[in-house]
Amino acid sequence: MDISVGIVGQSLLSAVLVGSLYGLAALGLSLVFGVLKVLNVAHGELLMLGGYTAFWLFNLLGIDPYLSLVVVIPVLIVIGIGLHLGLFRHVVQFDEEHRIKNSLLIGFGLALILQTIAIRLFTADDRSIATSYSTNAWELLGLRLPIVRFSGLVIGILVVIGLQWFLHRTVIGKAIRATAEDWRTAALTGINVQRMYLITFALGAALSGLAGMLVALQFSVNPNIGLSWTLKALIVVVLAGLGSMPGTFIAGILLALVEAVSSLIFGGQYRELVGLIIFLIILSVRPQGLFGAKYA
Amino acid sequence: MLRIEHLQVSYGDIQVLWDVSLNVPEKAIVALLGPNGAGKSTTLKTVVGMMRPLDGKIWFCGQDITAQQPHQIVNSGMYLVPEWRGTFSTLSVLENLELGAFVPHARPQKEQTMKRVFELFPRLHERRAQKAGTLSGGERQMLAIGRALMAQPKMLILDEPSLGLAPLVVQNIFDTIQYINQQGVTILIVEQNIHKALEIASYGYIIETGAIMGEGTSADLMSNQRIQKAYLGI
Repeated sequence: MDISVGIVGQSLLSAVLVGSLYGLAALGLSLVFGVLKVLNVAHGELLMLGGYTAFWLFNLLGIDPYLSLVVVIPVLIVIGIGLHLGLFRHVVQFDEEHRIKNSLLIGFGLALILQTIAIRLFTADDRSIATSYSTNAWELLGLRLPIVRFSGLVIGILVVIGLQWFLHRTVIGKAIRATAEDWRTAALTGINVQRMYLITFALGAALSGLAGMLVALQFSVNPNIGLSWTLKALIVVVLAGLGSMPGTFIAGILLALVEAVSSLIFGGQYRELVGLIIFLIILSVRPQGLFGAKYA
Repeated sequence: MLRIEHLQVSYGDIQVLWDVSLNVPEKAIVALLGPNGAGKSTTLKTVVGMMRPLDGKIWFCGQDITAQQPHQIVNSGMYLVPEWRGTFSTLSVLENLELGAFVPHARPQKEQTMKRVFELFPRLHERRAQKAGTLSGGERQMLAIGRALMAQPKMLILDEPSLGLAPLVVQNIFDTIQYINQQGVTILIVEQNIHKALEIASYGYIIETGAIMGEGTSADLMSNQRIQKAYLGI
């Protein structure tokens, strides 16, 4: 009995830590989808590029992964600005409905291109950042708490607090929320809607870069991880509903908890399936998502 | 202050404005009147840069603004309160007003302007922490006008300000519009409620099926038999 309580506790704790990565990966996607009404299915590829940037900075230059964020984030911001100005800027000229369709096509193409480039440049090998403290862990009530995993939860909470502050306390943040609700009225208010789209897309890319570093540190990166992270993030976004950053983060943790519980009960092979079934049940009861506002 | 010259506008292949010209002098209240679907809203959308004309020019304060973006036009001092009110229902009343002062020239005096808006609409002060989506129709129109004032515009354009409001509220809104004009703001008002609009306007244009069919001082238009018959129900 003692052992099983320990196993349950350990797997729930791990789920919370993995879930904070799901949440982090979903924040950028949710922000971009909510504001631009553009579904960037290459979001996972941006995460992959963030992971590789951190990996190479560590491997070639010996830069600590947390410290490397001061490079990883600006690199992803530059990539985000480039992608927005080169591709997505043209998509947001359309009505909402066409934005989603066109962005899906562009996103899939972009994902394939980025994957191929990554294979060419970095080979298809799995890479992970192995620091001297990567295997360190704290003991907590008999549970193992690996510190690099725990850092994901802490960083995730800090990012959510930072985003809340930015979106609710700064003029640009309020203008972004206004643009998300109604871009026409935002334009009539004197808000440069295209500028808000650019800032939001760059912010989304920065967030995926941050998540990518943590993935490379806690797990590993290879050129093909993008799709599975995009799907995870997409499930979290739909589960949470649009418009709430804390809600998105919490939904990420909930998804991981559901997966963990289901794999304890039914075995590991069903974890994704049970996660998706719960996801469908919640959506049929609350189509706007757990934390999303009901749209009229 | 605002001069529209020979405006031609189409939605795709269907032309909806034919050679529309009108002039709004500084500090005046001018009314653009006509039935539903006559092209009033299209004219306004084109003026504020939400639509591009096939042909024609739009001048504001001596500048050609025909090719400008909406936010640039707002920055130059023209503000449209659209038919759909233009408030952000997921933002609080206070945040809505703050965003009204988003234009650079209005930001420094944000606090003073907001005080004046609250004096004009004490109701908004009571409801400042509420989400705009929870306001009544009249309150939302007050918020829309309050937001416009936050931008300290030289010219205010109002699209159907009386739409869907109770008569008492309509009177209140029109009194406010007149008061704003007395403070030196030029006003272009678009209305189906022609009688009400001509009471406060000094000059009016009649638009029908996309073309200007008549114009004149308010007194002239009120006494014009055809207009009386068609619009005023006399």
